[in-house]
Amino acid sequence: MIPIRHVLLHAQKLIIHSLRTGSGVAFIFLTILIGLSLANLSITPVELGFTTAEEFRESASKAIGFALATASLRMGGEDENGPPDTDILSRMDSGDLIDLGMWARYLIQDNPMLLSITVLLLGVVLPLLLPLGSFTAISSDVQHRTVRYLLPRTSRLSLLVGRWLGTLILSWVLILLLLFSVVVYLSIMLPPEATESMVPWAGRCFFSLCCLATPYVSLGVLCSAVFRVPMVALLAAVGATVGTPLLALSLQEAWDPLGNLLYLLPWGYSHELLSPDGDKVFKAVAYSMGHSLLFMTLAAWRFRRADL
Amino acid sequence: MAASDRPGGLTALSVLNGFFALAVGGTTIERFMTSYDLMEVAEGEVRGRGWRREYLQSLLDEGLTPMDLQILAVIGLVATLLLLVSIWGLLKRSNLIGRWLGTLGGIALAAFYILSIEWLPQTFLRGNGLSIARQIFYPLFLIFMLHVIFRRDFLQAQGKTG
Repeated sequence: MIPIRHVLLHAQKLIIHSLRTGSGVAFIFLTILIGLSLANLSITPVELGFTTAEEFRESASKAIGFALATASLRMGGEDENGPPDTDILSRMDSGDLIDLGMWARYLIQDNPMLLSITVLLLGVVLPLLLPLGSFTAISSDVQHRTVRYLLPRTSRLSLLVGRWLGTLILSWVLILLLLFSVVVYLSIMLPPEATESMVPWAGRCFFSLCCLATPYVSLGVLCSAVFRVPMVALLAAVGATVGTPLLALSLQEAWDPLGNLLYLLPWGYSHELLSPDGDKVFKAVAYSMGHSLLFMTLAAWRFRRADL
Repeated sequence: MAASDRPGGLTALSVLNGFFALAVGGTTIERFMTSYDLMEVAEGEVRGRGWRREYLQSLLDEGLTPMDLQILAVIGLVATLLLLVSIWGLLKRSNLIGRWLGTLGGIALAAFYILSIEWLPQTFLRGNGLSIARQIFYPLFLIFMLHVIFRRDFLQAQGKTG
């Protein structure tokens, strides 16, 4: 049994410590800076008048449909009846991928477009930023051997779970701050009738991004528990996050089932967190929690046996 | 050599202060130059390429005056200087130069961006809205860090030297 008080205390100490360290300040600053830059990237074409909102909506809808098709068809690729060389765009045009078209429409037409695009971009970039907040969670104390002073007073599991919780809370607060800034800015920029559905949709996006963040934070904590040197832990977490999709896509060319390596991390299903289908969302949330549990179990197993 | 007990976050803040001082310094120079160009256009002197003159004229038509830009530039200059000086104070953990000049620099930086939104016409700001939101984030973050997270570090360092 883990003492909850210990876990909460470790979480609180980690948050305060993160704010005092250079890596923590860099994590907070980079997340906000890059997050708002991505939002700026999606808003600027309309704001500068390079394109009208309708044209932008049309092209964004196609681009998102294509991206969703590329991501979703990996899992069902073998079940498709169409010839293997049929390209996704022509299948979309022929109505073969009508569900994905509906999905893109749900994100772009039925909900605030600019917020949806921003959140989709964040979904790609956040996994690369989150290790910055978690790579020192355990490894920093192990490297400097200060963990020895903590362990007589607390258990290894409480320490691990507390630091994971602290990192997770910090990440969630940053995501909340980011979405809040974007929503406030869009509410100022857009006419009131266009912003009516903004707050509920922002709540849904916040939930999705929090679910997405959980397994990546757990992966960062796992790397931090496995490697004694913080920079190696950071390299491992970022390397695994970037390397997994690259490896899966390359190996798939050699043998199709190897493409399923993508599911080692949430890359393969994370987009389904924003699906209009409740069942798919539920499954994606369950997979996220499963991934997090797996990573934390491995981290606990490794940390309990570590020679500190 | 003794290892420094300065928190890494203070070093990171001093780097960020330098970065924002340069950013606001660049914008300050641009504001000064635009204000002189606006004065020349207002006085009817023909200068520069046609599109630039038309753009400046449109700014004048929207009610922007050279004085507005010069006030903004002066605030920007103050923010730049305060942020630059506070870098040394942050590294030395000086309560006056690091914490309080940093705070004043943050306030001047926030004032610079908020007054830019208030005074400058949409033509001037278009496409920069979220960049400005991003830049307003930093002064708030700086003030929070100096007065909540690192407050004790500055006071302890002051106690040791004082």
